[in-house]
Amino acid sequence: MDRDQLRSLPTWIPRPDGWEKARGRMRYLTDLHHPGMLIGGVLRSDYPHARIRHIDTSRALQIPGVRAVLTWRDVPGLNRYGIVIQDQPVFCEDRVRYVGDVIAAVAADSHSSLEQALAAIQVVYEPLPVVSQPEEALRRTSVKLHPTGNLLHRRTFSRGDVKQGFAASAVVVEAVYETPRQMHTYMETEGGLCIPEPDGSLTLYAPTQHGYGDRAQLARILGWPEERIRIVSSPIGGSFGGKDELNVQPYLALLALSTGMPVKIHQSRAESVRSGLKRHPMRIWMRTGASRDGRILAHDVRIVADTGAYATLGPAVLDFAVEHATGPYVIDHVRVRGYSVHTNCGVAGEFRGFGGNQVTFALEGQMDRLADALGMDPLEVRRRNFRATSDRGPLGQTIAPTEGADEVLAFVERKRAEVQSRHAPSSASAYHRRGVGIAVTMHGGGLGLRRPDHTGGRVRLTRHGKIELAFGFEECGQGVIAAIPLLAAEVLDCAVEDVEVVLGDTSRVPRSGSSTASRATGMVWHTLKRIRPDWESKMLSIAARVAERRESDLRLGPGGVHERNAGRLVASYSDIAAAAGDDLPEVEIASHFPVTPDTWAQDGAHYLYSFAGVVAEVDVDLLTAEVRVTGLHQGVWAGRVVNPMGYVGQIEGGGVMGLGFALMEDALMEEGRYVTRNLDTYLIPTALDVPEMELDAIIPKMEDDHGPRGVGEIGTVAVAPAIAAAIHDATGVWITALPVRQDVLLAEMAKRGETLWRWMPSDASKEWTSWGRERIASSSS
Amino acid sequence: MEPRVWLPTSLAEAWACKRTLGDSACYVAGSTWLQLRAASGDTVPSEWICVDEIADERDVPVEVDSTLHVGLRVTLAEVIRSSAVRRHWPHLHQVCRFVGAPALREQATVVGNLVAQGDLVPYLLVSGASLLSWNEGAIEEKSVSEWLTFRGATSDALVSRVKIPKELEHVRFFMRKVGRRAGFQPALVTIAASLENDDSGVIDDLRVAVGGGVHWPHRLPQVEALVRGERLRPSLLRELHRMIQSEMRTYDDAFATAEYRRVVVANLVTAFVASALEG
Ligand SMILES: Cc1cc2nc3c(=O)[nH]c(=O)nc-3n(C[C@H](O)[C@H](O)[C@H](O)COP(=O)(O)OP(=O)(O)OC[C@H]3O[C@@H](n4cnc5c(N)ncnc54)[C@H](O)[C@@H]3O)c2cc1C
Repeated sequence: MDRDQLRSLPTWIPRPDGWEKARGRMRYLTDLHHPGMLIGGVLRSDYPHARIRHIDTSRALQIPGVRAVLTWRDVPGLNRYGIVIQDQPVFCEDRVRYVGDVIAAVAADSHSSLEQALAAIQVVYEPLPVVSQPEEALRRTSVKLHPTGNLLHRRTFSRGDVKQGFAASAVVVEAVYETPRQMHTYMETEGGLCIPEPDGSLTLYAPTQHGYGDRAQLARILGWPEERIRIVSSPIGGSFGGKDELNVQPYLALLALSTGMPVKIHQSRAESVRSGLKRHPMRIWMRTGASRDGRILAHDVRIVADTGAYATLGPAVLDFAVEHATGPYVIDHVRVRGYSVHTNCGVAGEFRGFGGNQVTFALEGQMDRLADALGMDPLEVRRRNFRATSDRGPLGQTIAPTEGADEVLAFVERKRAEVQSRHAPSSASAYHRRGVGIAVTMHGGGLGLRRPDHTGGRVRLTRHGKIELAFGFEECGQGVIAAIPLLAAEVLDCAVEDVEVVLGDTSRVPRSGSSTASRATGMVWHTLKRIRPDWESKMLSIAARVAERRESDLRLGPGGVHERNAGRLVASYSDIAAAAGDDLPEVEIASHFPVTPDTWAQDGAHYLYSFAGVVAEVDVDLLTAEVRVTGLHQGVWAGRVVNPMGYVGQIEGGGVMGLGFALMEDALMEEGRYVTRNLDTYLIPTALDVPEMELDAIIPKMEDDHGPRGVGEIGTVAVAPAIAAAIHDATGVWITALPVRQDVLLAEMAKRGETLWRWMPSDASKEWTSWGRERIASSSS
Repeated sequence: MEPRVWLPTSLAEAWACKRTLGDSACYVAGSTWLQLRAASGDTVPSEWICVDEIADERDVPVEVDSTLHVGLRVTLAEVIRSSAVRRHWPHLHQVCRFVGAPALREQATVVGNLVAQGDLVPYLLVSGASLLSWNEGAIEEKSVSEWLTFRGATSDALVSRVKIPKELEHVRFFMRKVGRRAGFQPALVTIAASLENDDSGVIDDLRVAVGGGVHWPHRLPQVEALVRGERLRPSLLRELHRMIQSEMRTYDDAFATAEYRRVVVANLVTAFVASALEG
């Protein structure tokens, strides 16, 4: 279904929060004010790596208007956090490992007192050598950032014998690929408001992808039972993975607790850049061998990820990259070795695509190089190695059968032909060259095998006859808030208008895990499916009483319960609510995201996958090597379309994010310090960079019982390799490092003899000796 | 820290204010450049002498005897909106749009851009613009290039107006800002060039200026002299390409090498010259 077809679906409804957000009227949690609230802030490290010799807060405490200055001594519970491994200090005691590390927090009456106090805190550092390259960090001689050393995580996978595979190969291609430290660049920087309640509990208004996750982490830090903390986490001004981990919440809570007053923190963009998570920069070496007829025989991969100072989700991101190193291709001899390495370069963590974007750039680059070496169409090489519907997954595990790979390849073939026929070569000017590139990908959804991938939710009838659906994951801009009523209408047979959605408040929602890994939409569907039988029987039994019918003659429907056959409404949801009195129907379930039945498979192995095929068109200015993406078309196979507007939004938005990753986004660091400290130098695409985008939402011919797959990530994954391939098509230069640097591209073009003199229009460059006078004579006549 | 704001009502008063406050003060037009610097962590003066209330200066550009007078309060948006500019200064119109994004241009001024050595300066250098400034109780007029060279010595001078000669029809112009995305960004390099030739194809006048980013905006006099009075020939184009690279002063930074900037300017200007003479 293309965009027009999606638009014409009855389920094409504007997202409820869209208008407010587009007009800038939405009040986010960081817009909240509370009478008498204090302003909080934190002091971050002056050094990317140093020992702390001394911390003196006495002068700061004397500044008028300062209410609290906290350091590590003031943490009642665990002075560490981290979703899986708690290794990140809330406050550093004796050592800092990156420029975002926190030494102290201050609450004051005003911004100016706060700033003075932060400036008055004296910290004596002893700078340590900065570890800025993962390869260097792995050396035995390197300074160790943690007692366990600098290797956070190692993950390998192998099948067959790559030596044997290469020996049998007719061609072998080899390259090193490098990917940038991309920043999430959510519109709303980190912050929130924390209120100490009269009953001794804390309410924390702070955007996150996982309210319950934050609650558990904060309880550990405060040494409290979780129930004493309430997290309100919606609405959120963007996250993309960047707000799953804690950021300023611990300081909000500790400051509010120590002053007994409400405290607000809202980070500036500069501080957000300095402290926030980024996408893992990866250096990926790949060697791939194939037979003359294009069958891949061996694939050898080494991934080194720069995970920065602390763990957060570094191990899981690496596992994902290792799993996706072979993508949708079936290869007999495979060896993948992955290392996630600590450095003093910020902290890398969860980010839309979760390691898939990096490894797909490399893998698809290999496919193009193989095609080139074989003199074969890049599409054909891919086809010859593609998985079939019931093939096992990349780690050898059983996965839900899917024809997604073939479907997206068919899209790519069709769209590429269409795009190429549009490009009459003559239409470009002398100094511009166009190129077309393709890429495909296969992307796992959910957290995977043996990961705490809880789902669940609650349905209940309200006193006013609304069907209230509550989930513990968040609306983080992805549009699940619009998808929930649509899914409810479908699974519970009600009308969209019957539904009320509750998200983002631990006091009102059950646990459902995090909004991550493209799982929210799928989770809603699974949960509702499981809720349905109980819900139906509870509702029908009350309706039977109200309507004086047999339950078996009734069914759920829009607005209430209907006669099974005639279809007439016999008891509205309000009637049922009235009849139920205090005993309103309610069903709550907890379950787990679907995983592979092969329990022997590696941790994190996925069961459900989605697919994307991308066709990118670029225009390269040969004089400057500026690259413009003029077309970005994606065919996506992700199960059924639940919320068409949300689907389009995710794929287009993801596409633009992928374009930024390919062409401009990189949080540059030198010796552990950010060079791009704000959005004047860290560039993301603007509306002017957004190309023509076409979308084909490929609907499965036969639907399985695993429901929609979620499209939060898939639209970002294969964009960069398609753009890189298009640049190669235009210029002959192979791109190995992202973002594509113009200076590198221009120099590479020059090496290939692509200089001004070659491109000058032929009438200007021919017959140089007599050209001047004749040309002018003829043009003036 | 919040700056202290002064609102003088005449050029003389503003200048006197600056003279008294010295280095702790600066003139402020749209304040966009100053805010950008403050946001990057640079220290900016704490006393702001705002030009908003200065009488006698217009808010819109005015055409006087084939010259465009742009007063110290005129924003880039006003220049872009001016029908005179669209008609007779189409390349000024173009370069104003190089700067920032629409909302920013409603606030940012031409004079502020000139003093901050922004993207307009290469154009101003090539177009032969001059400026009026108030200093030591008198108005002085200097060419933009002269002013750029000597401003260090007269840092209290208050620029009151920029005067830009009409773009002549027989002069060809070339304006380009090279950056890392399609718009709203700092330049890697900004280029302006103009070319005049006689009917027989002899180059009367080539002007080339380079600026943008943290370049000190400058013309390339040797390059300009190289082709003056010459007829275009392939060897001359090659010499031009070489000389642009050797004459221009540029820099390496985290985003592009100096070499890249040199080659890009040489490519663009050479291609411009070649195509302009083609007809
Ligand atoms: C988000 C953003 C994007 C930007 N993008 C660009 C861009 O693409 N290209 C670009 O060139 N610039 C850019 N800038 C910088 C700046 O906005 C422009 O250069 C703008 O034209 C400056 O004008 P202003 O009126 O705001 O100057 P101000 O900030 O008010 O002043 C700039 C300088 O001029 C001095 N000054 C002001 N008036 C006078 C006067 N009458 N006499 C003497 N000195 C004076 C000030 O003291 C200061 O040193 C950007 C800024 C921001 C915040």
